[in-house]
Amino acid sequence: MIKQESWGYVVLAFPIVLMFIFLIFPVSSVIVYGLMSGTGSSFIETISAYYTQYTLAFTIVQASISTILALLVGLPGAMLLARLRFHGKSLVRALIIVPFVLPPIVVVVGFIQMFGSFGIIDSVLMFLTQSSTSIMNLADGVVGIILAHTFYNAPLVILLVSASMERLNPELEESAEILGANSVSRFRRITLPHILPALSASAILTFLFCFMSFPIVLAFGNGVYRTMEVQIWNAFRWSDYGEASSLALIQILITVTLAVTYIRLGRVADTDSGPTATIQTASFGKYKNWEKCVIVTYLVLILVLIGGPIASIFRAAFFDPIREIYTFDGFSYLVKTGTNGGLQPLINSLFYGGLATLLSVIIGIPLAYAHKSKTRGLPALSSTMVLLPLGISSITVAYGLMTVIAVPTGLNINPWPIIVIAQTIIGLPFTARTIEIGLKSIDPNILDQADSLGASRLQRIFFVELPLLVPSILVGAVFAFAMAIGEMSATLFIALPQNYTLAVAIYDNLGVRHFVQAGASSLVLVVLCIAAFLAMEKISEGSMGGTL
Amino acid sequence: MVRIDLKGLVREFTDGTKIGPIDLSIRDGELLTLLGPSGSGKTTTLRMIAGFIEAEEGALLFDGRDMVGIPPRERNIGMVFQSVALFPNMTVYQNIAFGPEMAEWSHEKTVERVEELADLLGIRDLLFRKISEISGGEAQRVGLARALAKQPALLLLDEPLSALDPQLRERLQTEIRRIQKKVKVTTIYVTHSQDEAFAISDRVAIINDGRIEQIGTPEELYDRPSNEFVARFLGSGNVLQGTVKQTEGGELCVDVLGVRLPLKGECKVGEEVKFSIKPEDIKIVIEKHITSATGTVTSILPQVGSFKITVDFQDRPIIVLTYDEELVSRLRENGDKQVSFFFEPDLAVILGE
Ligand SMILES: Nc1ncnc2c1ncn2[C@@H]1O[C@H](COP(=O)(O)OP(=O)(O)OP(=O)(O)O)[C@@H](O)[C@H]1O
Ligand SMILES: [Mg+2]
Repeated sequence: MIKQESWGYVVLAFPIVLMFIFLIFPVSSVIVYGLMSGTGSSFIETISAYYTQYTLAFTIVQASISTILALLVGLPGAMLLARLRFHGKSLVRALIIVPFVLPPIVVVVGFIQMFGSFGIIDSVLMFLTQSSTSIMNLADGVVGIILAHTFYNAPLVILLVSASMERLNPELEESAEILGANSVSRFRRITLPHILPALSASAILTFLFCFMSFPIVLAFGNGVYRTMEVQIWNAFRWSDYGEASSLALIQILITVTLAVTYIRLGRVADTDSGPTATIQTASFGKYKNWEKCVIVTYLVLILVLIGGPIASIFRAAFFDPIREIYTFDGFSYLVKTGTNGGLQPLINSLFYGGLATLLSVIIGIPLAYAHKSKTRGLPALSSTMVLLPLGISSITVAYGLMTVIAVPTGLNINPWPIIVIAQTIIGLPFTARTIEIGLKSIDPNILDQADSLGASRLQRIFFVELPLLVPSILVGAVFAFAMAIGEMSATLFIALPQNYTLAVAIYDNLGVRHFVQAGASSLVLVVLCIAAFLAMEKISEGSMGGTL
Repeated sequence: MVRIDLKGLVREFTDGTKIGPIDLSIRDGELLTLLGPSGSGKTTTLRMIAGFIEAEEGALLFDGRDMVGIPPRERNIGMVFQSVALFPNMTVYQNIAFGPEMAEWSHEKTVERVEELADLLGIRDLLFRKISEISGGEAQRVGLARALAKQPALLLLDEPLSALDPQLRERLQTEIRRIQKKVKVTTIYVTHSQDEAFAISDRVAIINDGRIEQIGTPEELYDRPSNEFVARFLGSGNVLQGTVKQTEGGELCVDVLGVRLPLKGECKVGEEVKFSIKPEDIKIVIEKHITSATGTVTSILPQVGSFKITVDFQDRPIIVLTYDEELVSRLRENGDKQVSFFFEPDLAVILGE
């Protein structure tokens, strides 16, 4: 490759500098400032407080249980997806990604409607027992938190593990079989070691998500159950900056370690690409009767747990569980202007989301190029920048931006630019990674040809590479948009009432038990997210799995 | 160690591809090769014997015992797959010891057996290597050792050498042959290479379009192909077609494109016959004989120890092998390239359907 010209360095350095200014600098200085300034509790006080230890323990325990449950629910699904032959497999594979693009707060609404008091399951039970009071409420407390986390992450496990399983050379299992291994030993000795990297990677990712989970814990925890993330927010609200910073520091140490482990594992998994030849699949009819029962039971379970909440959002938009009537109030809320109306939040969502999308793409493209650069240190630096937001929680990002950028500049009076910046940073890993994958898959021969035709580097980028990159840029943009409109944690942290987005408004409405208003807003977000997802599928034609 | 009988075995895939009916017997301790072009059903046949796919019709007998419903792991078979499929998460030793371990052999017995096989195959030094650290040829040996570890009664090899370079392939052929004779295991070997089949086998079964065309020793197949497919596939023959004009006590006179050629066989006058004649059995002379067939020499290719001459016989290429250097130099000087050719009647083989 030709030597990088100096303007090239400027372009490649630009996103890295931005990330320094808006991520690393705010987060590190807010931590240092919080620890040094002496406002609120000191680091020692914080970590020795019983309450902190309890919160940390709860965060870890709920994340662990959620991870185990996600693995237990996901593993059979992965095996089925890899081994069962059925029509519409690619559709199912595509649909499995849907939960992943849904905003957490929307999932909360769906869960309340499916599993909560007077929800679908509760209604059925009430009808069966002829009871007039609610019988079961699973959308609350620890159970609700863990179920919602499982909902989110089981699909992730299914996707990553089934992909790995499909890379297993079927002749390996046949070799084991003919050497006398029964199905249990085959799984233990051959299949399990093969999928172990994918299994661990999905476990770590799940743990990471659950560890940093905010909206779900906030909504279902009722202030009683708090994760670190919730507690940072709380401490900030009570102006205990010492505690907020101490907690943020502890959290970052844990999450960054996990994120780095995940990346390491990802490298290992990348290298083991066996022959994808004839994957051994069997049609449903080939299974024994008891196996069929197990499969059907599992599918019903999945449908209830994962399909149920999504479908319930439609009911949530019309059904008011308090008055027990169907109503259009939710939708009239959405078009209502003024402080109690849903129109402003809707406009805010689209406006902030649109800006964040634009910024993600503008920063994402040079970041992806920097990753490919031959200059020493630059790829490592850029990939760190891309991955940092994965390891730094949204609340910490918001905390840093608010304290270090917004307050000194006076932006805290109307902090909408800060919201856009936070949303950009949070969506950036996905956008940059999508573009990077697209960049990797450009045939180098085409580029060589451009070189031999005498195209200068600038011309080459604009007329040859960028057009080829358009699909992945579009996918990255849609991804960024979906992330931004669904983002609630940082936005809630930063926003004043006039800055509320739809996601924050949903939380707000839930708090005052305006369930249909929350439901209708959720439906809008679901429709937007599913539309975004369909667009991504259309553009990338089913190769979405690689982004994770 | 086991005698295998396939009786009318049929497998039909959902897309309509039909393999069989296959009738085949493999004798105790013999090495039989399934030889056929790609897609002819070799792997399918092998996988039916192993039990990975069920036959829809017919019977599979091991020493007369029906194998229906018996899973692969209980059939006492060793198998080397086309991709070798060594377990990548285990060492060479662990790979070979996998079968004995599954059969719950004692540790001492397993170690002894692995070492014995490692010596037999010359892979003693590799035992504690990872699978990613051995070469393709070594992997084949490990695969063979793993398949033999539990002393199977039947060994199945699916194109085990197809991915190797020709020299290594030849060396391993001899080695497989030697080991098979030594452990006396009944073996079915699948290949699409005629040279490999002939080099290694006691008997060869030619398979085409899901059916066995002919079974016999390499010599039998080469000298007496029973039909046109075998003759052409083995490249042993020029296949010609003609009408019987005269018969007299097993001697025939057949009209091939207006030329009368003498053959031997039991046919009726007026019958259409196909026959094959091997390249080395055809003689060429430059002097023209009115009675014999004539053609034009189109190419002369020197080969190891012989020359391959192509004669154009009324637009049909006839391949002739000769060792006669003097003839070749005279042919090269010959201006009009016209030659006569003929063969001994009893060297031509009349082909069936
Ligand atoms: N699972 C299957 N479903 C449908 N058709 C199949 C299946 N397996 C094999 N076939 C078909 O059966 C025929 C025989 O296949 P088989 O693999 O036995 O051939 P082969 O002789 O081993 O060929 P090769 O030398 O290429 O390995 C082929 O036409 C193949 O397409
Ligand atoms: Mg085959």
